[in-house]
Amino acid sequence: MSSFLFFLQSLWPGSSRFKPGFLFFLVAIPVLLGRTADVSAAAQVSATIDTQTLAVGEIARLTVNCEGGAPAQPPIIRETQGLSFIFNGQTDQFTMINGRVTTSRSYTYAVRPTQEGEHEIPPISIEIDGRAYKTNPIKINVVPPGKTQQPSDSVAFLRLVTPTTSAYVGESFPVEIQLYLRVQGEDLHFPQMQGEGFVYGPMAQPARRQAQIGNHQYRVLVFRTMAVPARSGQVVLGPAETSLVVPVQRRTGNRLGRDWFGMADDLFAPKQRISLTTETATIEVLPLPAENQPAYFTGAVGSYDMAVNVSPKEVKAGDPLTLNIQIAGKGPLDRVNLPAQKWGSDFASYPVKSNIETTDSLGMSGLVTFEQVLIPQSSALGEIPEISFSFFDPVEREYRTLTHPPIPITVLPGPAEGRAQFATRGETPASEPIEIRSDVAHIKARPGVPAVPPALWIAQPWFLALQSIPLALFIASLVWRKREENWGSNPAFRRRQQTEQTVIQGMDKLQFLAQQEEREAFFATTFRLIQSRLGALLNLPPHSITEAVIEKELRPDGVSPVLCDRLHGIFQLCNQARYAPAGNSAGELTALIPEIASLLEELRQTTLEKEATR
Amino acid sequence: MRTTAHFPLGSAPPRHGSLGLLFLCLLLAVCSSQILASADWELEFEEANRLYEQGQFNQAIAQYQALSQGQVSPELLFNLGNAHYRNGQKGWAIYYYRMALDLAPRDRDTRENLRFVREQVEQGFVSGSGGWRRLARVMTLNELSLLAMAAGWVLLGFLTAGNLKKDWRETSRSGAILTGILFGASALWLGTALLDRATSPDAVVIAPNVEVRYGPLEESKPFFSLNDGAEITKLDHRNLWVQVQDRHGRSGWLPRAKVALINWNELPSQLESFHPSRQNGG
Repeated sequence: MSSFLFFLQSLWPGSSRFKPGFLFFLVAIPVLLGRTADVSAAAQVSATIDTQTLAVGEIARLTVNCEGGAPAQPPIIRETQGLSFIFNGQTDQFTMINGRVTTSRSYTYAVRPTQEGEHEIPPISIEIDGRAYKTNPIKINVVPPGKTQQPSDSVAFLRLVTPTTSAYVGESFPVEIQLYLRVQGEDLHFPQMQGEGFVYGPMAQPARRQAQIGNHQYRVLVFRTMAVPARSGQVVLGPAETSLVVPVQRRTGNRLGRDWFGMADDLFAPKQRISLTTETATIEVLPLPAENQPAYFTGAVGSYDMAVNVSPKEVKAGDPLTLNIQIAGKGPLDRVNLPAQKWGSDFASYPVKSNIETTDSLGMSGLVTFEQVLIPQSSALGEIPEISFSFFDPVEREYRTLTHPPIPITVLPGPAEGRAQFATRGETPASEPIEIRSDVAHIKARPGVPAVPPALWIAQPWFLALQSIPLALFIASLVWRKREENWGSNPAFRRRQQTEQTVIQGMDKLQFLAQQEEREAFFATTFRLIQSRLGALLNLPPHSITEAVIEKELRPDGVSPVLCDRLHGIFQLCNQARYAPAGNSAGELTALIPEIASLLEELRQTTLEKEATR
Repeated sequence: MRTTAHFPLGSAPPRHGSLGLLFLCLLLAVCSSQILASADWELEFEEANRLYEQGQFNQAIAQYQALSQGQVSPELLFNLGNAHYRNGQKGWAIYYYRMALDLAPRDRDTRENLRFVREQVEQGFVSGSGGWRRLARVMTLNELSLLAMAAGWVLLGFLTAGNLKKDWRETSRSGAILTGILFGASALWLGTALLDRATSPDAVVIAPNVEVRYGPLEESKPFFSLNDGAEITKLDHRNLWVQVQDRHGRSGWLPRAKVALINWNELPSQLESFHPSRQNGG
C-alpha cells in the first residue's frame, strides 16, 4: 500500500495525506473495471549508465531506477577511487498498460572519471518500505583524455566504442557511436555502419550528455546498436559514417568576442554539410565449437531461460490444445528458434507461431514466445513429451540445453480419435510435412535457365488479339448456322437466294451468248431469268410462270402498268425468237442486255417492297 | 516418276543449297554462342556462390547482380535474396524472394525463406498470406492466363464444332459444359490472382529506420518510421519521393532511394540503385 501512496504522491506531490474514503474510491476504480492494479508487488531497483567507455574529464550519466516504490531519500553513492558522483535530480513516472499500474522514480547522477583504467560503480544500497535493495555493479572503462579523440579544435567528430575485442559467431554485443558536437548541428543522419562480417540491429534514439575535452565543452550524442558477427576470424567492425550540417567557423582574432557572441555566430554563419567517420575496430570472432553441439541447437547464442505451459490440460482426442513456450534472456532474439520436437504420431501439430518482444531499445534481450497447437490423437495419452531448447552460452563457453519435463494432460475419448487433423494455416499446405526452420534455406547450386523477365501476357496486345481468333471462328460458325437454319425454315427466302444466284450467273451468260450471236439461247435464258424473278415475286415455282401471270396476278396486285408493259414486250421478244427464228446481230443482242438488267432489277425492288408490306 | 537434276561442272551451285548452308551456319553460330553464354553464366554463378560460402556477401551480391543484367532466373534471384539476408539487408532479401516467387511461385525454399525473413521483420506477424491469397499465388499470372486461354479455346472449339455439324451437337454440348466450368474456374482464379496483385504491398523498404514524412520534402515533418523490410503500397510519386501506405493504413512520403518496387520494369533500376560498396556490410 505504501507504494500506492507513493504513486498518489507522485501524481499530487503537494498532498501527503488522503482521506480513507478517497483512497478506497481510487483503489476501487480499477477493481470495478476488473483490472486490479498491481500495486502490492515487491519493489525493483536497477542502475544504468549511458556509456561504459569514456575519457578522463568526460561526464557520463548514471540513472538509478526504483520501480514499485521509492526510498525516502535519494540513494547515496559511495565515492570510489577514480570516479566522482554528483546528484542531478529525480523524476517520477507512472504508466498504466492494460490495467496494470507501474510507478517508478529515477535518480540521476553525473559521473566524472578522474583516473584512467577499469573502474566499477559498486552496488548502491537502497531502502524501500523497510526492505533493503541493492543495484547491480557497473563497470566503466576510462581511457586517457584525447587518446581516441579528434584534435581538440574539431567542431564535431565521431567515435566508435565497443566493449569487447572478441566475440563468438552469433553473439550480440553493443556498439556505441558517439557524436561530439561543439556547435549547433542540423539535419543529422543516423550513423551507418560500413564494412562486412556483422549484422546490426536497429539503432536506438541517441542518449545525450556533456563532455569536457581540453578547453571545449562538447555535447555528446550516443547512438547505440547491436552487432552480431556473421563469420569467424579477425573481422573489422565499422567504420561508422554520418553527416550533418554545421555553421562554418569564422577565424576571428577576438577570442572573448567569439565566446560571447558564439551563439549569434552560429545562427547567422553560412552552413555546410560535413561527413564524419569513425576509426574501425578489429574484433576476433570465434567460431562456435563443433564438438558437443546438442541435437536441439538451432543457432541461439546468449543466455536464456525457458518456461512452458499448456492449456487446456483436459481435452478430447482430436481436439486442439495450445502449448506456450517462452524463451527469455539476453542475446540476438531473431536467432532463437524452437527446434523440431519429437511429437511422433501421438500428436498432430500446426505450424509454430512465434512472437518476439524486446525489453531493451537495442533488441539484445527480451522474450520469444512460441505457440504450438497440438492435437492428441488418442485418449491413451497422458502427457506432452519433454521439450528441449539448446543454446551456446558465450560467457561459460559451452552449449547448454534447457529441458522442460513432460507435462501431464488428460485426454478423453473423442469422436475424432485416431484421425490426424492437420490444419492449414500460414503458408504451409496441409499435405506438406511441417518443418521448423531455424535459418533460411541454403543457396541454389544450379543457376537455372536464364531468361528475360516475362511481360504480363494478359496486358499484351498480341495476347488479347490472339483470343479473337477462336472467337471470330465461333461467330462465323454461328452466322453460318443461323443462315442455314433460316434457309431451311423459309422457302421464300431460299427461293430468293436461289433467284439471286440464278440472275447473277444468267447475266454473265447473256453477255457470252450475245457475243456468240446465239439468239435462241439468249432469249431462252432471258425468259428463264424473268421466270425466276416473277416466281420470287409471286411466290410461285419459276417454271409455272407464263406471260398470262401479268394480267392475272401482277396488274390486280397493283404492280405499275409501265412495268407490266415492259414485261409484255420482253415476253413477246422471247416468243418471237422461239417461234419466228430470225437473225439478230451481236450488237442488237448486246443492246438488249441493259434493258433486261433494268427490268430484272425493277422486279427485284418490287419483290422487296412487297415483302416489306407483308 | 523420278527426276534427277543435272548441273554442268564449274557452274554456280544451286541457289537454294547455298541458302540452306547459310541458314545452317547461322543456326550453328547461334546455338554455339548460346551454349558458350550458358557455360559462362554457370561459371559466374558458381563464382558468386563461392564468394557467398566464404562469407563475402557484398562481393557475392555484386557478382549475382552482374549476372542479372538482362536475364534472370528464379535461382539467381533466390541466391541474391539469401546474400542480402546474410548481409543484414532484410528489405532487399524480401524484394528478391518476391521477385523469385513471381517466376517460380511453387518453389518451397523461396516461400519458406520469404516467410522466415518476414517473420523477423514483422516480429511474427505476417499479413496477407493466407486464405484466398495462398490459392492465388500457386501459379504465375502468365500460367493462369495460359490456362484460361486454353480452356476458352477448347470451349469455343466445342461450340464452333456444334455450329458446323448437327451430328456433333450433343457431344459438343457436353464438352462445352465441362470446358465452360473449367474456363469459368480458371478465369475466376486469374481474376483472384490479379486482385491479389492489385491489393498486395508492391514495395519494400530497403534501409533501416526510414522516416516517412508528411510531404515530399526534406523540410516536411516526420510522420512515422519504417524498418528495413517493411512491405508497403506505393500510392504516388513526385521527383525523388514516393508516397506510400503501410499496413496500418498510414500514408506518407519517403525518398525513392529507400524503397524497392516489386515490378519487373523496375528491376534494372533497382539493380543500379544497389551498390554493395555503399551499403552496410555484414
